[in-house]
Amino acid sequence: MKETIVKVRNLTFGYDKNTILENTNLEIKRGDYIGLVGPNGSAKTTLIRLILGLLEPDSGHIELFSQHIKKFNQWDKIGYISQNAREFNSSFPATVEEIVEGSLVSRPGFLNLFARPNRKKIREVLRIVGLEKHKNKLIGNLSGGQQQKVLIARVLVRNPEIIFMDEPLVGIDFNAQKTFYNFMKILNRELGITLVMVSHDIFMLMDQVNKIAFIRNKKLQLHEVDSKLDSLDKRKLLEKIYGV
Amino acid sequence: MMELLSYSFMQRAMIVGILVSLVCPTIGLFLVLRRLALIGDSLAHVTLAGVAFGILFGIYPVYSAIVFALLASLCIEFFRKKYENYAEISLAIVLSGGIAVATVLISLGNTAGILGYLFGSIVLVTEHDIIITVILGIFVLVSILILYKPLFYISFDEESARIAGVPVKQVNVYFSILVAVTIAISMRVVGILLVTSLMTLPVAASLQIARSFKSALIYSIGFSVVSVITGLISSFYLNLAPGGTIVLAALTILLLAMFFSSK
Repeated sequence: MKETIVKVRNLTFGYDKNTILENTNLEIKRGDYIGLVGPNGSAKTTLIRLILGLLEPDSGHIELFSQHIKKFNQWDKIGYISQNAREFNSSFPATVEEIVEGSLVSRPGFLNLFARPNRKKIREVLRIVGLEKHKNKLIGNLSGGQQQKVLIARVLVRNPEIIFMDEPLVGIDFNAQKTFYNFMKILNRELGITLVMVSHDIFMLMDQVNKIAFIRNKKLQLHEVDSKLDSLDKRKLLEKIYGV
Repeated sequence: MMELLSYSFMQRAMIVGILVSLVCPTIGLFLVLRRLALIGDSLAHVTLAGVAFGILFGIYPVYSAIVFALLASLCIEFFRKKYENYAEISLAIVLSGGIAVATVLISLGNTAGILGYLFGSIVLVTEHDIIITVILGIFVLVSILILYKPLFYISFDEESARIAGVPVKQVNVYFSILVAVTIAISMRVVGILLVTSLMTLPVAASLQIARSFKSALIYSIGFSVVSVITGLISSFYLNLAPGGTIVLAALTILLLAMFFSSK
């Protein structure tokens, strides 16, 4: 039995009395690769932001790594690439290496300045995402796909155990998307990182993930996806998910 | 050049000027990157009220300026929450409030010294100014060293910083204090009306040519120091207000940087 690292119980949330999630339950186990799908406005992003403590639920219970979210303090274990992450200031005057290094230190402190950044770790992460050659380039001079890799490298350098990604592929060209999915497989299967990805591309997701979480009518359903599904099975599963 | 430095008032102006030229672009770089350059301007206008208050009630103007600027940054935060979708309105409100209070205070009584604070002055820098500028200037620089990494993190991506455990709120409050202090110690030489220029123009020039964050910081400081020294020297020989000459020097550097930039 794999360890449950995120537990959501009876979660209800709304913006101004307009409930968008009702008595939602979700369990994420170590090693899961979950595709989070649902119609526009179905609270996919909201659910992630609730799990990350960026929003406060109206009622319900959230646990991260067996700790109540209010008491949770091991944020190093969690990576998040938000929808807004892509909209960073692309003329920000910093190199790829500086940006990745910048996410290593989070507390103010005089000694930060003299502490040697973990160059080996930064180099390794840049190698994993394939940006070694570009480490001294300004982030604004990279392509969209490469910038996406920088954002992932920033998260990876902190050694997360789970990464949440909110539509990471919007605006990325098709070839870069394929590379990205292959890369995600490596993170999940070889490095054992748990992944949760919001996406609209359910067909692409089904070849990747082991579970699909579908939000509709304020509720979440979790479906297992067998990796040996043929196209007919997938179709059936889709029909089941969408309830047609 | 040597003759210039034989005047003790010029030595004092140089000491204060160079220190200010180190502090302003350092704070300015983070302000510009966080798209907050105009906050400096609003706070500067409020410090005018602070200075007028100080002169009127016999308080050392730098102190009252700091207090006013701190209050103003609190007000900006308050109004920003009220008008979440029109963030810049908060700057306009605070700026107008500052000018209004300043105008009333100035017309209330004998505030003759105020021009020196508006446009900057080299002859009016006192021993006291030097001591205060050195203490507060070092305070700001050391604080930036301490906050450098979290500020970099927040400037690039505030939300990720929050999730990564950066105490964003505390860092932001501390940073507003630094902005207020920087404006207060800079106004003596550069002048209230032009403080923001020293915070933004060298940074704008450095963004044209910087190839990394470190180089952006170094270029900003370098351009600022050069602007202040050239500005002070020309102010001395041409008998002009130093605020104007310093900012014109900074503008020249900016134009050159744009001309030679490959971007």
